[in-house]
Amino acid sequence: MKNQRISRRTFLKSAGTVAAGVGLNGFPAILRGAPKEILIGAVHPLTGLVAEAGQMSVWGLELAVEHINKAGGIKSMGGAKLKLIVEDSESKNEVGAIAAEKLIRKEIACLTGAFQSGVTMAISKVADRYKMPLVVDIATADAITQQGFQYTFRVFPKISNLVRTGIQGIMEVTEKGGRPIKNAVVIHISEFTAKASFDIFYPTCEKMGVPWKILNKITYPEQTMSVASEVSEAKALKPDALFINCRMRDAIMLVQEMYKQKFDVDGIFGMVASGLADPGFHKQGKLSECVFNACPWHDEVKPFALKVAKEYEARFKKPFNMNGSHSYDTILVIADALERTGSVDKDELRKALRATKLENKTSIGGPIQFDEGGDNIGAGSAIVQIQEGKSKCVYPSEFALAKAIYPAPKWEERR
Amino acid sequence: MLYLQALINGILMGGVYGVMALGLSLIFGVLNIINLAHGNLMVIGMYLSYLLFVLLGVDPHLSLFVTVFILFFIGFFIQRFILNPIIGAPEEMSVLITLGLGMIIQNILLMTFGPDYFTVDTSYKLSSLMLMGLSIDVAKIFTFGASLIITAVFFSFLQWTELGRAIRAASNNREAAMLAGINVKKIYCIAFAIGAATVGTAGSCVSTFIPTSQGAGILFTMTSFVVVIIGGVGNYLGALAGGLLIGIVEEFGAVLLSGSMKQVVSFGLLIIILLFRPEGLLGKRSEE
Amino acid sequence: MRNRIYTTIFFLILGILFLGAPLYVGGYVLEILIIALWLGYLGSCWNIIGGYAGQISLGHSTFVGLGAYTSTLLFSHLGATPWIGMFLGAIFAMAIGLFVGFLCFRFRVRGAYFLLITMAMAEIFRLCFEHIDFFGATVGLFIPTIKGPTAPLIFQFQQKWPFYLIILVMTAAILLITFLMERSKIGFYLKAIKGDEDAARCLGVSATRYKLLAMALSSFFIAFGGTFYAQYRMYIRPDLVMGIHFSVEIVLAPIIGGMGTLFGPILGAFLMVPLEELSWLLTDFLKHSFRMKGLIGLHLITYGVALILVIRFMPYGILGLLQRLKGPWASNEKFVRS
Repeated sequence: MKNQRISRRTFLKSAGTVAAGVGLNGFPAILRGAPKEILIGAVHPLTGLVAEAGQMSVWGLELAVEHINKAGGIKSMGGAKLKLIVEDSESKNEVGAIAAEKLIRKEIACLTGAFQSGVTMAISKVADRYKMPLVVDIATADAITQQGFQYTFRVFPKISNLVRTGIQGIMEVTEKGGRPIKNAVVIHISEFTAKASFDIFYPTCEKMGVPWKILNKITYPEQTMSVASEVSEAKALKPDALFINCRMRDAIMLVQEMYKQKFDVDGIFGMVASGLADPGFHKQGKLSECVFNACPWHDEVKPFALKVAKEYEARFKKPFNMNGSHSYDTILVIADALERTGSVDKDELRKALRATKLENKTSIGGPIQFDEGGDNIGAGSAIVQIQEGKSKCVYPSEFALAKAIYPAPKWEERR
Repeated sequence: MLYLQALINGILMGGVYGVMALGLSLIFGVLNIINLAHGNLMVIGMYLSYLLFVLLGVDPHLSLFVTVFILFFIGFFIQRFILNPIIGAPEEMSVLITLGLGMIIQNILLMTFGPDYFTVDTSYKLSSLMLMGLSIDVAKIFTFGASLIITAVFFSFLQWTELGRAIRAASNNREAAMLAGINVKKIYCIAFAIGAATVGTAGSCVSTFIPTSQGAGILFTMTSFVVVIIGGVGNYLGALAGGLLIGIVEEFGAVLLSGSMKQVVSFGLLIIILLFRPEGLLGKRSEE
Repeated sequence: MRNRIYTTIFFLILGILFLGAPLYVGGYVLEILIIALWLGYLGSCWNIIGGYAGQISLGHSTFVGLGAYTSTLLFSHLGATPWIGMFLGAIFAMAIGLFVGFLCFRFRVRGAYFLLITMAMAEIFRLCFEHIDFFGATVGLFIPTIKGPTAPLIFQFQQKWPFYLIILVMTAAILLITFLMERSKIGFYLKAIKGDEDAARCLGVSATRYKLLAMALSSFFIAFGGTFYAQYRMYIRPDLVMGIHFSVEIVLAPIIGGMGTLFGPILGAFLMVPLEELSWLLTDFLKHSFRMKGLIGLHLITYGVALILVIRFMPYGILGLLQRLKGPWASNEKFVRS
């Protein structure tokens, strides 16, 4: 390790190129004792199909860093300010891994990321190699915290909990609406998170004794050009409801195709579908109305969370939603841990993170506390529904802002 | 019922495949060039339509006149400066050069427009005709109509104009054509330009129902080759018939296997034809 | 005689420099070296059929993928160590290669059509693997990280330098094999076939047999590269290790460096990979200083331009050109075939 450190420095010095000038702000400071600036690295998809959501998460990180610095920085380290360095993962595992390496080379104190579970797995392996603390702000796959990595923590709820709460919520909502689901079809993209959520969905359905029967499971590739045949297949089975998981682009294609083929269902339920949270999907007017999503959410009840949400939406003109809030909270967690250790030593930081108990945050659920594997015990999940172009929480009741509309009106009847 | 739907969708797509193949058949047949950048030229057409739609509000089926023009010049340029110099070289050379060309086109588009997908949101994007329980996309009907018109224009040009005759002469026998006083180099440029323009119009048409992205090129290229090989190189009627056939075969493949596997069927067909009947279903065995 | 001594000393020094690299270069440079050597390895394997036999295939990504998937699946389902799995993967890949080669060469498929068939094959395999859940579909396969002293037995290392040494040895091995083949009867016949297949046949050379041999060798060895990738990245997915895009990547290095030359693929790889990193740095620089969205794909455009220029002016690649300059042939002769 020491050998590599020396050669890294030598390489960087002798490179003397663009790279040296670009990202090494604060680099000398860290080596010289009490830091004036603490670097936090973030790997997020700024380009690619989920660029918008990735950007919204990064804004959450940036806002939190600003707030911490405005409140005096890390006081136990002489008011050291946090500085965020963001690298684009381009939604690709390879690029994310290289981005993580680049950030670690820049001597960050802590890493965060990466939105997509595949990329997060990749960077967690890199972080583990260098014993770099990683606090995952957004990523759902259970596997991330099951690798036995001591330095990986996660603020976002994991998929198994999300699915369980989601099914519970759906059962409640449909019962209250007077029409429990009898038959359903599953449609989802062939992607890591989507597959993971449905791999848990089916056995959880059985365990919880749900009233519905899954008639068919239809998958399609993420980069598909058309979902016409998939929708026709689903339509032919005449289900009461659809359970979906998709990105924004194919979610839009899905509802458009359903409209074109006059395929009506009582309800479309996203199962931890990040695409349904994207602002772009909300702009589809009558097509996206009444679509549900089982997902984490931001707190719309507590004053602290509301204040942050307001500032975020005023500044960035996009909804705070689950991505912004969990990224925001992640910085709070890191800052809190730094405050308690008073140093950027990786092992100290890890111990401090392990002992976290954060109550003041913007996401729903209990206080942030990490278990043995690194998962947040307090992470909460909800069911939201798009009503009048905005996602509103309809379950659980402590965080609900609106009543669920179920069953949904037919396509023809919508204005 | 599902199969009837597939049949109709297949025929509608088949028209476009036919147009794509016409351009390639011309290029492959006349110039003996394996144009691996064919699909990328089509993608340029898609982006052009998108821009014209977003900036000027012109429907892609109408703006294809502009697209034809621009792609004609691009094609001419490509042949004049990149491909003409290697006339007479072994085929592998043209393959590799057009491969490089395709990479350049794809990545220039990537740099300019980014990796996101763009959709042309026409007013009829969500419209469909409901006939006896079958839903037919209005956009695809327009596209099919445009394909028929383009094909008719293409045929008439080759059959009845002097330039068309010159092109056909040059494709049959280069030396003889030169002896007859035809400027073969210029003819080649025009032929490639026509090929590019033709496939560009196909791009304009499909932009109404396929999301535009820089990565779509390779798929279009492969599909064009499948149709051309099946129909027979240089056989324009074959290109049309092949287009319809592949369109239908793909849609049935989507129903029987799954949406993502439909290309497997056409690629498989390509391999079989190349092995057992390389002159195509409608082609004649040639001595060359 | 003196030339021989100089050449040997040169290669000896080069070898020592390469062998000792982990001791004096940092993690970043080592990463670049690993990628360059890997690409060079793949290109060298392809070179056997593409460069020496003159049959340009755009389907070799399939064999890489088959190697990667075979060893990975055997490991995750049977616990078989990838050290053995990679041989099985190579055998499997060779079987497919022979099958495809047999179909094509037996039916006397022209070079251009052979290319199209290999392209179609590449995409068919990619699409099938993307579709079948057992292979991980579009999600891909993760290899679970196992730490501890037994990790090397299952081809897993915490550090980078073991991987570097492995790929170094693999590259040296394929170079040696190519060298021996070049000088042997096989190499001689392949050269004849590449020059003019019909004439070679007339002289009694069984073109089909030797082309098949080249196909078998190239597909067998390139599969090892697949297992290496799987174990290094710990993650494989059809669009990463299969398909036309990957095939094109494999083929670029030997073409630019020199098809049918011993060191062409390596040279090509060592030109391409740093180029890619440089364009990354350039993109970073522009992104940070000018807030530009970035020049994603710049290096690919450069490859495309290089490809066109090379084919146009140096159809046999850089080393090919150097070879011919030294040889008795005039330097203004562009193409061998009449």
